[in-house]
Amino acid sequence: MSVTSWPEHRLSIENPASWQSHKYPGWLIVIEGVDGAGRSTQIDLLELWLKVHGYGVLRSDWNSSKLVSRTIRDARRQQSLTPLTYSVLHATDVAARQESEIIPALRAGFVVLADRYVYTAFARDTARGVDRDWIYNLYSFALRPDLAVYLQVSTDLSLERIRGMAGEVSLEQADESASVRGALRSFREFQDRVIAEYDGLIDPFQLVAIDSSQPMRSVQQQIRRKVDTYLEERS
Amino acid sequence: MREAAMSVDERLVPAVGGHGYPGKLIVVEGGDRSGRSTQVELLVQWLEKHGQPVVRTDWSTSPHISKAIHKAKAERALKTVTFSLFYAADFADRVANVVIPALERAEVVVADRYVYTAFARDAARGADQDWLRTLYNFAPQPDVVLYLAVTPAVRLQREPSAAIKSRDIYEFGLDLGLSADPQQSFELYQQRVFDEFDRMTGEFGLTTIDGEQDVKSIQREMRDVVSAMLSARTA
Repeated sequence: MSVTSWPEHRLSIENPASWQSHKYPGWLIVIEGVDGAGRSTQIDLLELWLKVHGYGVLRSDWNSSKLVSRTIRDARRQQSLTPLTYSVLHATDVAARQESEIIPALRAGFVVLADRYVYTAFARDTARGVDRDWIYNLYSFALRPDLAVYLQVSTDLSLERIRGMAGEVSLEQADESASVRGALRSFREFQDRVIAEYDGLIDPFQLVAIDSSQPMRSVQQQIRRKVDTYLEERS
Repeated sequence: MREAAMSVDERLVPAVGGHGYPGKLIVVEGGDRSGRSTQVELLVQWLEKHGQPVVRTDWSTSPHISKAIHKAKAERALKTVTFSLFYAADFADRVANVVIPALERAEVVVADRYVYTAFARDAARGADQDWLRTLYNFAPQPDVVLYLAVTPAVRLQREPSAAIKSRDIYEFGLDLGLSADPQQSFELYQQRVFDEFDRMTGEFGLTTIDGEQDVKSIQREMRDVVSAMLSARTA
């Protein structure tokens, strides 16, 4: 039984550099961005490209652990949990995936592609009023990614794309908006706030920001270039 | 509160310090098989008989989260950090939906286990103390904590066969690999938890009660402490 996942340091906004890199042979690559930033499309294309180039790839998506994701979805439907409780549940989901999928894959030398990671929690939970330092402390157990790409879009463009997408994403967003109704006048205001929080993470956490208002192919090319440079440096 | 302007609901934002609500928070702590549940039951009956509205909240009973924890425990699917965070999520939900509302209504809350259980168990599994204390800093500070001290050896004698039949690997510390023998593992693991409680007595001002006395004597001591605390309030 491994107990290596306990945090060995305390993550804080003042000292993000203290976040230790992992020592596994694999790579942890994160694609971040709000819904409507084109995240899923880009990560699908990246996964394909990595596989074509012979890398073993493990996808690990936000809120996808067998253990917790169902609980989170059920609770969201009932709108029964507070932002703080959601926050801890999402962290539980990250821990479950880290301990049972991500670490084993990194140990085996895989590229782990994470569709969203702790930055999602940092941006969304703080936008919902959860204390910033507390959130960073909570996620101190999480492995530091080797590369984190942040797909940057404006609120307007993200909303336009969400409206144009299939129902599931819009439904999820409507629920979130409803659960914090009263403090947030509209989803637009919330999205504005989340994007502002994300933008504030670029410097301290060295996120690679890519302008995602560009055509899909051009965004993908930039992502591949970053990933390629990174993988070559490390091998 | 650090971010007043952004808070969705100030109750949800973690804060350190006394609870500041009109109600009272009584916590009963004690290891597995320490007689804790019996004593909590008797204490609640006594308070209610004296016309005191009581809300009881037990460890791992959130209607939204506990089912998933018990299922994962039965499948032995919980790894260390996930285990720790899952309980924190259950606790966060009960704090927001049970404990704080009752304290606001000026009621007495009796908690069968509280943050100290998490501190002791996770410390026994190697967790960083500061990390844990920050994680749980949203919890209202109890007015009194009654800790029933019973050595692991005595507890094991109380109902060993039932315990082994229940095969709670976590209660026996079998996830830690201290010993392959369940009884020995129980003693080694529970001793670590016991030592942690001992240490926390000073740190948090727990009221230690000798839990190896007969049921009535323990209950009498508990009622004395609770009486003194409640009358100090009205004085």
